[in-house]
Amino acid sequence: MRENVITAEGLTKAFAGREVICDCGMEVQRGRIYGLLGKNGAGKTTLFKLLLGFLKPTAGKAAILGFDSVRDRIEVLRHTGSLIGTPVFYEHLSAADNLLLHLAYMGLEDADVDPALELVGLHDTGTQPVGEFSLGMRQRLAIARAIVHRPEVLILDEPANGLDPVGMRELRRLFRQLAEDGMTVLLSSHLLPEVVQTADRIGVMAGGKLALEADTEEILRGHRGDMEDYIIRVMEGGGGDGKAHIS
Amino acid sequence: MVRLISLELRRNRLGPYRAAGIICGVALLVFRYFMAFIPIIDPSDPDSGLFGSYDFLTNITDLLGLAMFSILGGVMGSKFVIEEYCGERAILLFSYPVSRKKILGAKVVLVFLYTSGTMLLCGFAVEILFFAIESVFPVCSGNLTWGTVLTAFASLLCYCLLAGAAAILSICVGFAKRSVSVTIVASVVMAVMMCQALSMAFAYPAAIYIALGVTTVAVIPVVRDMLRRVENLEI
Repeated sequence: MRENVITAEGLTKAFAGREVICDCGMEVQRGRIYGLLGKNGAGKTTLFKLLLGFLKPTAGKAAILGFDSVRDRIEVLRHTGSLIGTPVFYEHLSAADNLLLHLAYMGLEDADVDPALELVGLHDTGTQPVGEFSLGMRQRLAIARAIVHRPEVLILDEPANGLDPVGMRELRRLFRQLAEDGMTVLLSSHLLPEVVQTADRIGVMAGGKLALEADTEEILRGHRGDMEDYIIRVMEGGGGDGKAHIS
Repeated sequence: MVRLISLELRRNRLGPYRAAGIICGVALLVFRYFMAFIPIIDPSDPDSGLFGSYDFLTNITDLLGLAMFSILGGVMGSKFVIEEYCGERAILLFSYPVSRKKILGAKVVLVFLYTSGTMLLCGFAVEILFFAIESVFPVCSGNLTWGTVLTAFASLLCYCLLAGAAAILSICVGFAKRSVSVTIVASVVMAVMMCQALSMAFAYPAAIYIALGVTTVAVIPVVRDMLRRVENLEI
């Protein structure tokens, strides 16, 4: 049995009385890739922000590596790499300088940024300012920034945004490699095939709840012919079989 | 704190603020000579003698400097602090495993030091140039003594600290609303209010020290409140 690295229990978040996340529970085991699916506004980004301590839960609790997301926020951030929303950079600095600055904030001044840049294919950008990067290059740099300090947990919101098919395939390989090295990856996406090809386990959010959570293999086995229809039914809050698939 | 300030310097471009500081310094020197020449240009005006006093010239230049540099500090604060805590940028800042209070504190200290320091350097250069030229080619009718020069430097130092404090106050106002435009408007309002209050310093030189004390008392609780807010900020 692998250790649970990410846990959420009864997690609820309300904004102005409206519950965006409602009694959500999840567990992600070490070295696994967990893909979170959901419609726009389903609460995926809010869930990630709760896990990282950017938001405080209205009820329930979340923890990463046993560190409480609110109480031990700094420890959570030290062990986690993240990409939430549209990535922002220091536009006048190069890719390497952006990563070096990130490492300095992480307290790792002496670490090397070249391996991370090489992993995402940005090693040849030299002194080119990030302001001149394309959307895809910025996305790849954001992923490099998330992994440059070799975190134990990676939380990525829509990491494939702006990537071409080649970039997406490289990203899949990268996540697989990171998971084999023991990193735990939690990612969200709108793209069902992308998540199915990348993740070991899939969670589907609907109406602020985790409506379905199951191993990818298991879903593929049970819904080989109609998987897309099935997932969409669950996303829309109907037709799914709740958490029957939890294994 | 020093490490965080140096990281702020690494990731922000200071060039435009340096250039603005130099322009302000040149403007202050031109303004001082413009004032000093009034009695020569229009000797018939009964009030023109006022402009021949070193104390008056020093005070009025410092007052203008306070207005310019506190607005410059407000603009810098809007870029270094307020913009950083709005939208996606805040996510980047909050993803560092460093106390939010310390990061914000480093930014505020940097804006204060830069505003006060730049005004001090520019003011110092203006005073030295002006008094050096005055000692060879005097324009003012007043007596130039070491006491005059030392008083000018002491008052400059107080105005510099006030400019830095005004920048901090405008950042606090802008942070409460998380708005760049509110920060800049607040810095202009702050500059106008301070200049209005300090116009008393022409008659009562001690007014500058009182203003410094009052501003310090005002700055401490609002900065503490801002640091408390950032710790609980949700993004």
